[in-house]
Amino acid sequence: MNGWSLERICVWTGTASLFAIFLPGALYAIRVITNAEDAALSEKGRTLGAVVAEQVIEPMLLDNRLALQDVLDKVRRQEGVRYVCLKDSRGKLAACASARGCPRDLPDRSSSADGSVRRFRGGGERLLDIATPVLSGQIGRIHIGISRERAIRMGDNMLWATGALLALGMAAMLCGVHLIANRIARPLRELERMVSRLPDLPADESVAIVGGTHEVNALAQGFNDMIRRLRNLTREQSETLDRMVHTERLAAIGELAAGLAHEIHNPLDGMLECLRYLDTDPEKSARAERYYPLLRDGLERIARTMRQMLGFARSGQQVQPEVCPIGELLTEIELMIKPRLSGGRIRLNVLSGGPCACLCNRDGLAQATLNLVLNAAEAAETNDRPEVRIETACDERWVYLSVADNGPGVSAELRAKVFDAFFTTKPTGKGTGLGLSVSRQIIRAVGGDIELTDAASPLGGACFRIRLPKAHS
Amino acid sequence: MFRQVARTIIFSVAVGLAGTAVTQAVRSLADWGEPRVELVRTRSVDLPQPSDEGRLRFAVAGRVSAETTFSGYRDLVRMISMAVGRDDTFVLPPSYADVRSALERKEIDVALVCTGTYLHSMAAGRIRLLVQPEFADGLEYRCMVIVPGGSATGSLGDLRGKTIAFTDHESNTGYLAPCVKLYDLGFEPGTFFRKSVFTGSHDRSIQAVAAEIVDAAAIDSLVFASMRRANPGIERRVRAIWTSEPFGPPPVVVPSDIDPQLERALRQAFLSLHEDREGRATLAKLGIRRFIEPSHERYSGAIEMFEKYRSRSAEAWP
Repeated sequence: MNGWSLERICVWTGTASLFAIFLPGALYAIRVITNAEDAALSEKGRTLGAVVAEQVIEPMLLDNRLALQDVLDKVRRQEGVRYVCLKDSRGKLAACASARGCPRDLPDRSSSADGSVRRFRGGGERLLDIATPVLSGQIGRIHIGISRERAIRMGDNMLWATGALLALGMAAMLCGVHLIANRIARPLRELERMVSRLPDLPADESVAIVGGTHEVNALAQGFNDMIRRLRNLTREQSETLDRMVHTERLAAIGELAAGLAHEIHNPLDGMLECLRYLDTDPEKSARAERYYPLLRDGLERIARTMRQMLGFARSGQQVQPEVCPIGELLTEIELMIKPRLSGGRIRLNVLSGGPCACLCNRDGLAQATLNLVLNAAEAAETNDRPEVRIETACDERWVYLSVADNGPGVSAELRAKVFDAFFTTKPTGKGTGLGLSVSRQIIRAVGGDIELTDAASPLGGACFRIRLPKAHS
Repeated sequence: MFRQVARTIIFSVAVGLAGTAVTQAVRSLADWGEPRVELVRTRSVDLPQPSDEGRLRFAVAGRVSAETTFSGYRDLVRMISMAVGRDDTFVLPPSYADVRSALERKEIDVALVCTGTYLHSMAAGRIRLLVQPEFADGLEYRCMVIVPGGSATGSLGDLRGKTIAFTDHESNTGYLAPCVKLYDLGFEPGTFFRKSVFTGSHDRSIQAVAAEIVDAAAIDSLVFASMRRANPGIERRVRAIWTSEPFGPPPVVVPSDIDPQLERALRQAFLSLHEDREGRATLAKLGIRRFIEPSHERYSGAIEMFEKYRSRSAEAWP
């Protein structure tokens, strides 16, 4: 049966089951009917036999054959009775009344008082012979033969009826198989056809739900879900691969940047030092006085860019966090930031949330905060009254440092990309796109995080929040 | 669609027919073991009569009904036959005359008869006494004329114009004795009664009186005693209005020219029957204590009565 279709299996199984039920069932029913009919005939035979046995005693004892024959003839005329014969105590036929003859050589089975019943065929029909002893068998036995044809006909009728039932059952079974084929086999074949094309299945195609049974529909739905998950996994795999490539590229760039920054940063420091020295000359020319600041700004911007690139290269390195009182940090940051803001036009508010300490890399936190403040200051410059606010707070587990501005804020489509490396909205040459990426890596290295808050900035622009683990004394 | 439906119908019908055929085959197989017996048309007249050759033909005159006689005497017949080393043929002739004729024609080897039968046979001399039964009450028995318990009849003379039941023309107590008595009383038995019926057995006569089918019946006292033992209530339903003098017991007789060896064997069998427990039990069922050697003198009273009857009756009774 391996390899057979569902329809074929159902047809053969159903047919075998119907036969297995029909055959014994029909035989049993026929047997019950014929046995019941035979029992009724036997009872009739016993009753007649008892009457005859009573009536033939005296004629037999007195050898009154006329009276004896009269008794037998009367009984023989009963419906269904084919013969009535009398055997003497020696088993010899003594008298007989019959339509087609009496049975030859039908031996008595026993000499019990109860009538024994035997089935046999004689005279072209099936007969029942009921033997009744006369005077306890001392003077003979009465044998009454009754036709069983009616019982046989009833059995035949039952047989045809059950045959018709079998045919009906077969028809119902075939209809059921057809239904199964429609509801199970065909959807399964459709399912199989589509699954076999799975690697090449177009993205917009799914397994059709063709109205099968609940289980088949569930299976088709399951396959559709599986296909969807498979496609998602494939896409994720592809994205992961892209990210891996990008990360490796970034790593390579990082290494290159670190090398470049290192090579550039050292002479740059020397150049700045020389410039500071030249700027201290009281006899410098007016031209020098005009261009020295420009030169210094340019060199410092280069230095700052180099530091960012060095910071990006080193951001993956393990650092040992230290306990930093947040108040001290704020003071350092404020001193570091104020000179960088554009000639005091941008208003800087620093709000302390209370004395608490955090675990961090002091330099890294200062650098990250400076990046956030510089970005906030740049965004706030679009406002007529630019303002940047630094605010701290803490709870049981964390210390929070927020930098908010009253600039235009970050649009929804850019919110997911602001922390991506090399992502920038500034014009080319104005920013490397590494500030927020490096800051995030620095803060995450000590167990904290930076986020662009979903809630509206208290100043109406963007608000970045640094979260650091709270140090417990 | 139509082809699908047609295919379904055809296949279903085919399976139904196949199932029916298989079931019928199994039925036929199950019925295969039924024996086949030939039915033979036979006329009763053509049925061969069983041969009695080598068997002891034992007859019992029907003092009671045939079924009662057969049931009562079956064991006695069997035991006597076994004692003489033969299978038995139990013969129940329909009348006392038939018993006598069968004995005289040697169609019967031994018979238990009524006294009247013996009396009738004496003239021909072809029947001989073998043994006599001794009953529990002795060697004698009497004739009783009984009437229904509520009848006003007081004597035989009161039965004029009434109906009476006799048993058999050759019965001593069932016919001869009451007729002789009527003769003695000056009546003619042939015209005395309004109607006479012959029941064939004493027990039927007693039942006829008890059921008030007849006004009176002439019966055997031994049979009445036996019925009374079996059914004590019978005494309330009948009463005797006349009882005869005692007669000798109903004898066991054989044909006069019986084989002497067989005669000796039979006599010995009867005389020794009471010597074992089974024999005694069989005899007790019949109210017999034992069988004894016969004595013709015991029938002197009956013979005298019989002679009187023969001399007085000019014609046979209907």
